[in-house]
Amino acid sequence: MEKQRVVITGLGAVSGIGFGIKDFTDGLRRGASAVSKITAFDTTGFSSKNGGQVHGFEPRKWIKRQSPGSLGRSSQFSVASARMAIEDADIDEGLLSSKLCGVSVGTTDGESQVIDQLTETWVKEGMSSLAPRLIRQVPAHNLSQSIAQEFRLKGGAITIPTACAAGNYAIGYAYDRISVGEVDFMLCGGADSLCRKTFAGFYRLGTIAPEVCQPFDRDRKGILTGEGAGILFLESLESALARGARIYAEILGYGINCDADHMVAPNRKSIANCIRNAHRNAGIESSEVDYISAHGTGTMANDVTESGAIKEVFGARLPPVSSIKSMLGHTMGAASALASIACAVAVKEGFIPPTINHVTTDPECVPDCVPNYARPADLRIVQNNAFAFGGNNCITVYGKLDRKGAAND
Amino acid sequence: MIRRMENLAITGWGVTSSLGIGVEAFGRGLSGNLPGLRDVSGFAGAHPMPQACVIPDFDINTILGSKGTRTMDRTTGMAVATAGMVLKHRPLEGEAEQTRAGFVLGTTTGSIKSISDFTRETWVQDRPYLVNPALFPNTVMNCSAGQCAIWYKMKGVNATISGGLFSGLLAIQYASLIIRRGYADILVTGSVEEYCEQSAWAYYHTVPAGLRSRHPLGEGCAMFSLERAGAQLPPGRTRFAEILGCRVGLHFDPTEKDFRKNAKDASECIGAVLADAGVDPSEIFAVCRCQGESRSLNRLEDAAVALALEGRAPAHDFSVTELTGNTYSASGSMQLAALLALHARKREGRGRPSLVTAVGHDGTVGCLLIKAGGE
Repeated sequence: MEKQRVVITGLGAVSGIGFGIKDFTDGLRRGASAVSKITAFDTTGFSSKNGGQVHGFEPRKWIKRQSPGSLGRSSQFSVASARMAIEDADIDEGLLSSKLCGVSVGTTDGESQVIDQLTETWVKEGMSSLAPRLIRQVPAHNLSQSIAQEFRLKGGAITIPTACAAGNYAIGYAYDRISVGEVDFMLCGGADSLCRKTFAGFYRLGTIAPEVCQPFDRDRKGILTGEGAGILFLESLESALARGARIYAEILGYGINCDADHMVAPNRKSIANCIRNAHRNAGIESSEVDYISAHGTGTMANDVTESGAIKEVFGARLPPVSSIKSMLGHTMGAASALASIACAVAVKEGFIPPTINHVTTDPECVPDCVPNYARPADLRIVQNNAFAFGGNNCITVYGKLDRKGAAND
Repeated sequence: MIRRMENLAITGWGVTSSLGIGVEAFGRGLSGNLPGLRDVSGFAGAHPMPQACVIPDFDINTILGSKGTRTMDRTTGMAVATAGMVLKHRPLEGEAEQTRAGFVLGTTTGSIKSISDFTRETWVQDRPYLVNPALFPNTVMNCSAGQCAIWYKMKGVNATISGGLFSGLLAIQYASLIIRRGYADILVTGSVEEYCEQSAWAYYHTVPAGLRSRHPLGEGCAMFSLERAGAQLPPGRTRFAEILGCRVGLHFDPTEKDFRKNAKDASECIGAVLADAGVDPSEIFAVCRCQGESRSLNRLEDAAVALALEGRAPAHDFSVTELTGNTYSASGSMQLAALLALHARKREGRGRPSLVTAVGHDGTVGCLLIKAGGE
């Protein structure tokens, strides 16, 4: 087999509960909430105004080689998280550009704030007043390309805009590239910023919660839109061992499929099939999964459908299932990347991030959503669910490196 | 080094462009050297340029019927129509194949018209939330790929790739790895770009006037069914070409002023693809160049190709942009479609390798190597 084992050795996060892996992990442990009144766009006329906005982000701290003003907010998040991941991996920047390091970044809305801004100019002043500087920021490939430019990476950059499953798509593709030996390293994950378009759309569908996001709660009222980025640094196990890197977790595999049924409604049978694909590709049995990081958006439809699919696959032996969207809101394309980071630190540090804002468990949902408080746990294998508009499902599986039997593979 | 990827076969293709709808119309447009430039007064909004290379008579209702198309936007209509052509060449055999078949679609932002029009409603309606919820799914970038899956009941890997000029080549790279890893057997892969008021103004504001007039804005979609070259094809099917290599990455420093150094650096991408596939520059039958973004980049692309081919002139050397206009995200797929059309006409090219190339302003270079007729 050509297959290389792939491990996570660096993590970077820009989130509403903290910047960098230390603050992000602390936030997960204490069940922090990113919720505040949205100021990223004008919320006049909307009766709900809460979201998981990132406050106090200073792009200049992390973006060195490019002018931060030349990048949209999502690309700024993306580059900042990549720099955090590189620093966390303790790898020399020169080595990254001399060897082959690739980039893959998932997103839902790309540079949505820039498109919001251009559209507002169109409405108020007309198309002839659009600023070329902003137009150049619009293409979604800037989210990955800006990382490649910042660190002069030659291993190729790709942006995967598969909506709310995009972070997992990008991590899966990065894992594949290292696994077959195409590249030495990958920076992968997801990024998105809060935007008026997506807020208005979900609001119109009646799926924006008025105050907080309560996944798996009987009285859940929907999502809160959020923003941020999560970037993971990946390399082969061989490379990590050779340079004495700290290893968070191993990527065991992932599953990917499409409902081919409805653009918006989740599909229980298809999600169950995706879970089975993920387990098969990772070479594990469902009984080995110690924790599920749920898609868990907090809508009526998602949480009951996702719970149903989990019950279908896992039967009577249900592992704990939690949703960090209760803390961050739905960070769209960044969501499954930030959740993958949560999985990696959960495995490394031995705890399960909680589902906060939980009052009464919905009997139609999973019975144990790790309500309100993080829980110590020795996690050997965990899975991270992500589902998207378009019926795009992608589930990643992570394992503790020294889990039983792994050393003899 | 990047290892040579497993060869894929192209077992079906489809194209929708200003040259017409379908591979025959496309082939006729290319051989007759008939540019698809026409008036855009029929499009919504006020346009900065009176003409563009737009698809003649592209009416979604006429082409796809009224069922399921009520809210379909132009980008998705083009993708669904083009995918239909591909699946005529390569029909899927029942549910077993449908479960292992999917889409990989390149686009830079999805339908920027759908996104921007929807956002506009939040400003012009009495209340910011009085948007049309039925149009919301059109504002996510993976809308077209998801709709294609629904339309053709294909439940395998479904991915959307954003890469500007390189969207088509990146989609092929992605599809290639997915097939190699065994996650899917058949991936209908390509890229799409829609002409609209928004993209026309973006082009007007960011592309210098001289280049705009020489390469007007275009639109289109081209897609290809990709599967393992070694896979057994059901009887009666054609293997149009084999993909021998594909590479996209940063190869030159855009701040570097030395043209010759940049050309040499850019040529290394093309040279590496040839070397990995074991193809000698003298074997190249045709080169289809992108010639997209600016005059200086076009010269750089020319110089890089010349260096990589060691000065040898292939039998056919052209840019499809001259005829289809600048189709941005669709360009790489248009170039590949143009090579397939050329090879269909020029039987002497059978079994010989041909190249697609592109050079971007940020230092990215892309190169795709195919061999016509895989049998």
